[in-house]
Amino acid sequence: MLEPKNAEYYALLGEAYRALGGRSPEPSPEELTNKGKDEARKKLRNLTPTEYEKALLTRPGGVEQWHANSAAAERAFAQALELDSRNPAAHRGLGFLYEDENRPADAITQLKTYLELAPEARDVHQVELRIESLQQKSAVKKSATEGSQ
Amino acid sequence: MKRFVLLVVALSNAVAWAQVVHPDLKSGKEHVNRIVIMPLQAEIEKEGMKGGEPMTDAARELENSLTPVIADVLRKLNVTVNDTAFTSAAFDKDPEFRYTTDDLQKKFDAILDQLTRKSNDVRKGRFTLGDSVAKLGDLNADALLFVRASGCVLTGARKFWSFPLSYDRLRLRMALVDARTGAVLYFAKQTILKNVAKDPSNAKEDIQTLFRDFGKANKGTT
Repeated sequence: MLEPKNAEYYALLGEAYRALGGRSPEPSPEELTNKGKDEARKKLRNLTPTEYEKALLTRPGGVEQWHANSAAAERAFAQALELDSRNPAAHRGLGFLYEDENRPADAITQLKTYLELAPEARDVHQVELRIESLQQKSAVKKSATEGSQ
Repeated sequence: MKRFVLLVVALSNAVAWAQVVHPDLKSGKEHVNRIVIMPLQAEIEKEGMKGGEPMTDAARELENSLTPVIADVLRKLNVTVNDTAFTSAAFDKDPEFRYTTDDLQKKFDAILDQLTRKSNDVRKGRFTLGDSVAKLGDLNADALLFVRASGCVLTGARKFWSFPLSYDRLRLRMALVDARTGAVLYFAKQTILKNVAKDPSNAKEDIQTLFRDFGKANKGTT
């Protein structure tokens, strides 16, 4: 049970939903059968973790599940920010979530806020590199939109 | 005789030798000037008639003594090497640094099995640790070197029993990972038929061979 007024817990809940990707929060009955477990083991043996995450999205209902998890993650991060608008973990989580959703401008805003709130964090270098690559993506997206008009 | 044994070991380990270069490194798009060596992880097993027994102390010793040998080999390839970034003092000073390092080592181990079985896919740029490598902070490095060593030391009786395949052996697997993107730029594996735990400088020539293709690919571009 979550502490109702702890922003940190909600930020962690958001991270948990984000990490689910195309998985359901509870395994389906098929996934719990021996056949289902064997299939998962086989995939994990043949695919890299990144490829496995992508493969989860291609199975039936994978994309819908990812959308549902993303929405749940966004709600949890929003709740965390409602309790503490200066919670760095929530801004970071939202930044990465928006990046996955191909919303580079929103992602940049959130990640920049994170860097302002947690300038000493261990992943500052990683976040700076992400912002750099998001800015490139954003510029490409902007020029593509202008080109189509 | 040694060549025959190497052939048998090669067949038993699927393909024991491999050196694979990422296309970006080969084409000169990426160039590695500075390498940071991640903490080396070694396992050694004493193989007797009753079975295997881990040699933990010898493995820790090998981890400490093999790192400078690898650093020396890389320096000869005109690369700046930092083999002291992950000291226990640095970990004590910043516990987060220790967790980040451990996480990265685990991420590498998660792809190591496939890297070993499907080494050629490095050429397709298939393997990456993701940008979480940047969590280590700015180490002033172009690439991180991950090394895994697993060895086997035979007892006298075992050597007698398994003649002619009675050689101590060490399996080395090394990967250079881009310090910004996490892409695996170079992967090499080799089985050495020596007891390297006794004298790690024994492995110098073999390690030089392991980086032969890297040296070629990394040469001439700036």
